[in-house]
Amino acid sequence: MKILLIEDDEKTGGYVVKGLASAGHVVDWVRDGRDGLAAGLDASHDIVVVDRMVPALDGLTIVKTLRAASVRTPVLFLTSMSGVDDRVEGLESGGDDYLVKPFAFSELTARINALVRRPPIATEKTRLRVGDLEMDLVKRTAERAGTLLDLLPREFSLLELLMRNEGRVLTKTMLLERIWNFNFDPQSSVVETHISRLRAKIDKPFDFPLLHTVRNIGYSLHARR
Amino acid sequence: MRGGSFFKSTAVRLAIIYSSLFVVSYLGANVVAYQMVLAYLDDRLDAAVMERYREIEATFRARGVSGAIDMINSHGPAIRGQETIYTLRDRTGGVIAGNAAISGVPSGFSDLAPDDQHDASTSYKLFRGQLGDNDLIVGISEGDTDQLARIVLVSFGWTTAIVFAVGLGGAAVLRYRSRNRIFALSQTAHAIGHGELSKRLPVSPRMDEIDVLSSEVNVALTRLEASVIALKQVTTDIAHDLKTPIGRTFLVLDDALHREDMDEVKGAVGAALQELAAIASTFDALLRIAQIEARSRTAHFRLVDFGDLVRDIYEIYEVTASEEGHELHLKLGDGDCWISCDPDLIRQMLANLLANSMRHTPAGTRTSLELSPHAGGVALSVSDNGPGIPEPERRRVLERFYRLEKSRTTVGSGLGLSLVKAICDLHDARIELSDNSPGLRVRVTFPAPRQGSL
Repeated sequence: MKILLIEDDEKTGGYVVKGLASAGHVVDWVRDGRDGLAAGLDASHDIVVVDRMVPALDGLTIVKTLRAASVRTPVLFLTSMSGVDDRVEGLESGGDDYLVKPFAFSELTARINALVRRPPIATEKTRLRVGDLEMDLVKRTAERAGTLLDLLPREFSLLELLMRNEGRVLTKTMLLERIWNFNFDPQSSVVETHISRLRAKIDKPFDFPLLHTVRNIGYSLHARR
Repeated sequence: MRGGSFFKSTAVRLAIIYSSLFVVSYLGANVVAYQMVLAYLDDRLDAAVMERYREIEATFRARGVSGAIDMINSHGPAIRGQETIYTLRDRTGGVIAGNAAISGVPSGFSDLAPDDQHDASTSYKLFRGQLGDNDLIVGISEGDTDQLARIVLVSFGWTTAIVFAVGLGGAAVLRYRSRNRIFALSQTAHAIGHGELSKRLPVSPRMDEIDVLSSEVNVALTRLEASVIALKQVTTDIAHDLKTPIGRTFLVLDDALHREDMDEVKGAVGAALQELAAIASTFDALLRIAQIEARSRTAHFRLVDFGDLVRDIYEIYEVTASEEGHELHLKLGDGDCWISCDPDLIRQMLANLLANSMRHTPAGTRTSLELSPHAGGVALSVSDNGPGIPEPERRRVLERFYRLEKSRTTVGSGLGLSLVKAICDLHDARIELSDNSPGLRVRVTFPAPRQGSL
């Protein structure tokens, strides 16, 4: 994967580049906004990771300009501005996701993976399948090995998100944001308890588990034994 | 405030302006009065001159020229000095009687300036008429009249001077009194400016303009003092509360440095990361509180059905509660509960209240979430039958970093309820903690949405 990183902080940048490179990605690292915009306009990257506050041109302007120029490359904001409004502003400017510093590297990779392989809206499927687990998005039903699963609406959404991201790790924060609309740390085990409920319904009665906990990072749904 | 120039004092300036106005109008009135006095005196003099003349004229008619001459001669010396003067001339122009030889004056009334032809020092009012073939001039000195006019003028001058002196004296007194007050005020202000925020401006029971101003300033000072104290407290608390996890992280990492076994090192680093995450989330919560308190979030206010929000949160936490051995109940009143709010923040408020209730109560505790209409607005209450909070501490748990002694060991930043409080304040909602006997009851009352809000 080819990643454009716009980040002026040497330490953070170096750390991100090193980590992404060791995961097999190619990273173009630019240190100011103007170079970043120029590189982004090439549209030759799979994803742009941009810091909100970079010299010469700020992150928001870069992304707005990219979107105005019809560049559709997914954008992940990286920022130390954890203010309540900053996230909304970032997403409204055309960013696809938002990650607040300090962050764990696993959180960054999980988000990058989720963004890059997010299926384009045009090719929306009506059925999802992971192993022997099947979901009908039109009828809003899910079954495993022929047994209809009795899911509450939120459990259904949670399972749908996990299935759409088959094999990828979704972090706790990503789940909180997307399923519960919590853009804050609830300081309680909301995610854990719901996962445990879901697990009881989709995994427990069956031969092998599909829903896996990735320790200290998040959750992943896949049929690999 | 030093003494300052006398004329720079506001009180003195006002007093001088007022007494000047008074003096000017008083002077104007005096000028008018003086003119009237002069006119009156002039009329009286005319009448006196005329009277003399008529007397002589009457005698002339009765007894002829000789009678007139007698009259003049008998009269003339009898009158003091030369206050009354007469000149009677015959047809040829020779003086036949009188104590003066006046000539060259017109008929009727006229004035004779002093030293004009006469050795007198005063001027005279004259009347010239014909007694048959003879020519009579009668004159009376204006000396008395002038003196009277002078007396009037001098008395007017004196009274004006007295009025002005009283005005200046009053200004000085006013200045002295207001200077003392202002001096006291500015001394206090100086002390406050140098950090003595507990000082207050003196307010007298009269409640004049200065007192009203001073008491307003005092109210502002009280608020300022409270926020400065809170700020100092928060700074100390942050330093204190963050030192502990930083210290733990330090120890864990230091220990990891001396470990050889990779798994042990990894475990220690993981523990350190968790501590750091807690520190980051504390800062995050502080930032959120600060932002919410700065009222920068009203832009996201919308009219929302509170019932929907509460039901949504209930569904989320019902799962968490039952997994953790708590009971959660929902009681929604009938009808819509529309409030103007920031749904993101309200969601966080509800989450914090529920998390708080579950974290600080033992398993098996029953928590109920209740929503009911209240005075046009909505009342939300979160009550549990757990250990509760002792009365004296109920207000304090809303403060930043305040934690009950027994909660010191549980997780949490001590900011959850402060955040709730900040969100309530932003929504003009009132938060009350009370005894649920047993347990804690948190009641938040939201005002009715204002007319015309979206």
